[in-house]
Amino acid sequence: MSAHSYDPGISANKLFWTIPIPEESVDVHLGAGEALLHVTNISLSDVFTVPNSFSHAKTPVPAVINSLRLEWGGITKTTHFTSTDPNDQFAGYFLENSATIEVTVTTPAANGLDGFRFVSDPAATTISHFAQIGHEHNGTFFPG
Amino acid sequence: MLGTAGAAGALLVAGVPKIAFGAKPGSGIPNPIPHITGPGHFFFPGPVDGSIVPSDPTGAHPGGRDPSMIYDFNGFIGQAELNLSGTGTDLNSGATAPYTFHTDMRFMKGVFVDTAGRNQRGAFAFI
Repeated sequence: MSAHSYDPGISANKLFWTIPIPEESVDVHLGAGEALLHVTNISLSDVFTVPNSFSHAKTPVPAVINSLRLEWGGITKTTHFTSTDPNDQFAGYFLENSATIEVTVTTPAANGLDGFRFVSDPAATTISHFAQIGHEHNGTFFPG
Repeated sequence: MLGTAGAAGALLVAGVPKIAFGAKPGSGIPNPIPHITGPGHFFFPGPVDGSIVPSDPTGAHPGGRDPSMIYDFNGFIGQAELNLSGTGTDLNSGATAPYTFHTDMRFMKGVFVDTAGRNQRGAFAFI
């Protein structure tokens, strides 16, 4: 089986790999350092590799995230921060923690390619390199 | 982005797909943050103070490292850079194999000013 890579593409205004989701998909308890992102049936593309996401040397095919559950918890650091970058102004309260993920994603058979499904191992097997949650305001809402 | 482990990297943009946003009064489409990394408006994952970390190959950002993908935004964010393992299945042959993936995923939930200049409420995921 070959490589797979999933993303929703880049919008006309260069918004990068970002898509609208139902508001109820996100639940945040900032005081406890906890948050949950839970979405189902998210349409996106299997671009096979990250470089191919930009080159399209191999034509991306439709895919779906059947279920994604991403949980944050365990506060390791808290920060009140105000940026000093005049070109990207933001400020807020941020909590570094760790995260776990469970995901099922499917690439249906298309264009002569076999279909593919990935089912992740249990959330506890996740290796969390960096995670944080927070409340911020940027751009027009800066400094707030 | 959810990609096979080891495949991460910022490259030049050639042709890219477009996102279909649901219609709302105003555009409903948020503006991206101004900062550009390679092909997109984003910072790699890392502390907001911009300090050097392994998760950000572009180095330090003394002015700060905004975790949000959208600008003119006031709300909650979440960000996670993870490695995960699991089982891949060929849906034609039924053959299975162990797979590992690397991902940088985020959410933004709150109010934002859309590209039409109107205040909106919503949630977004960076996948």
